[in-house]
Amino acid sequence: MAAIEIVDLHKRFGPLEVLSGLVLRINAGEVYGLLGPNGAGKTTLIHLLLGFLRPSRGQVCVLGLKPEAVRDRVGYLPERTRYHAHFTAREYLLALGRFSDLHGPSLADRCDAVLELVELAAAADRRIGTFSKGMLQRLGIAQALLHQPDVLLIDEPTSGLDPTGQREMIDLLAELRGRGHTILMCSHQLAEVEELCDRVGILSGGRLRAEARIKDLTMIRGLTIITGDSELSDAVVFGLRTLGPGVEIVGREIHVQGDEALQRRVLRLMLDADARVVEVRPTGSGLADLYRRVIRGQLPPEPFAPPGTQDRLLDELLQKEGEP
Amino acid sequence: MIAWLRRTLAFTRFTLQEYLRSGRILVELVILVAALWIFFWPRGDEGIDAHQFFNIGGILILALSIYTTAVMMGLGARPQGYIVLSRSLGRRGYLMGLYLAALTVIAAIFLLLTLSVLAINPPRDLHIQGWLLGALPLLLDVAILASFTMLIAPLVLSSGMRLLLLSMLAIALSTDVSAIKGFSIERVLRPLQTLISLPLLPAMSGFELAVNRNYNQAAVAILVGQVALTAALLAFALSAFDRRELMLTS
Repeated sequence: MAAIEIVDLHKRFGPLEVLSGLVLRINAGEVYGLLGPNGAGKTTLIHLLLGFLRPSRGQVCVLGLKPEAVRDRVGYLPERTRYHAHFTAREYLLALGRFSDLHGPSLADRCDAVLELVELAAAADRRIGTFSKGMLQRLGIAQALLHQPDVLLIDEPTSGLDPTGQREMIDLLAELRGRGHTILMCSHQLAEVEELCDRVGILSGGRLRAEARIKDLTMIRGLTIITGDSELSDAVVFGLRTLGPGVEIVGREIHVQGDEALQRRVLRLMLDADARVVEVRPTGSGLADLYRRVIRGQLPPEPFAPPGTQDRLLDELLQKEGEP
Repeated sequence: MIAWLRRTLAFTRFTLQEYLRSGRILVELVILVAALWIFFWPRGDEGIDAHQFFNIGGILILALSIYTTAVMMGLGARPQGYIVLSRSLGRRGYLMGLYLAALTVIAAIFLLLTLSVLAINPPRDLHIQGWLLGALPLLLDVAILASFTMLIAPLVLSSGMRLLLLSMLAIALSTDVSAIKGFSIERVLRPLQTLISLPLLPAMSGFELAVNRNYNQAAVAILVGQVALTAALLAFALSAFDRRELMLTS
């Protein structure tokens, strides 16, 4: 079942078309990362999914219904969250719970549980105005989870955080992965999308230009082996050359482009020949590569494939690079 | 309906708490103290009567209702509202919560004004029954003015619609449209003024009723008219806010 389904979505602000014919389907329980440059329409899309904005054309369905009908089943963490700073974290969550029809002891228990989850229990009775950015962002996660939503919409979760805050937020989001929520996460950070998401889409020029499974993108597609020897022995060079065109020797570096079997054979050959290996570096971070190509317009600009064939562009990309 | 009301009242309470804690209420309190000093402080032997109390106090409270409602709407238009609006409370509960919070503040200030005046310079002929008879139409006028202020807030209506409404109000309140040169303009404006000012009648008559407290046969019609006008303005505001593209900015 699709938790989020978007069909031919257009959104205009006067003469500016921010989204033009967007098609997107996110399955229940999936963690989906939406990448794109500033102004690509990521936040606009989230606001359409929350019913803050109305589509100019097309359909937006969350859990099979219009956004307004499923507010109690959707949690939202905005980018650069602003809070009612005069309340304590506990008071704030209690109030938000009441707006979501939670009451009494069950609400109090739920507040304690989410504060515990985001490690803010000790600061529960502190005024929000005194919180650091990292704490505010964790409070954002707490409020988004308070009413136990099925769908979480998260906009730039690590925006404005220092490296420690970013790490804490990523760890927290990683914890949510196993809890069965469907998560749509908008981000600029390729690394966090790679770490947290099942699938990724790249939004550019109002359309989804590419979509792929993270596991396909992050598959190690090659190795770079750096040797400590100034010159490789003739036996090693000969042995490497017999392995085919996927192995290339450039000075002290051996570039291997091929499957795991080829990578193993190269490494075995090096070890058997007692070659001094200084570093072995996996290559082929497909997401960065895919993102770069999309943003540079090196992928076809037509709307992305209909549901079911969504990895077509990735396949094309892989084929271009000589992969099966 | 009960669940909606519960959520709305919870948001009203939340907004009031923020209004008090942030210190915004101080503006109303300072205005109240200033008004007490300027208009109600005992000077000479002659005190004030109930007519003066409702006349001066009424204008003060009506002016405050515009200010307080505008500030409440400003609070609602901040990005903080996104998190609240994403919950089951929804748009209607959100707007009604802001409105009820504004009404509560104004009603509380009116009560405080009454108690303060009673303490420092009690009006000669003001008794509890007379106060209630004056307070009812006055507070209904507050409700009308607050709902109109809410309606023309940027949170609710687009600039074009606000301009249109304010132009209509200007025509309705204009004292002499015949001063505008040109026969054809006057022929258009005069009936338009009559038409537009009709809905304002309950508000105008309500203020008169509050000041005079002369409950004749027309009084009930005035009160019903005030309630109807408030309901109409609220319905218009809620419907407009339902359709509004929400772009909350700091």
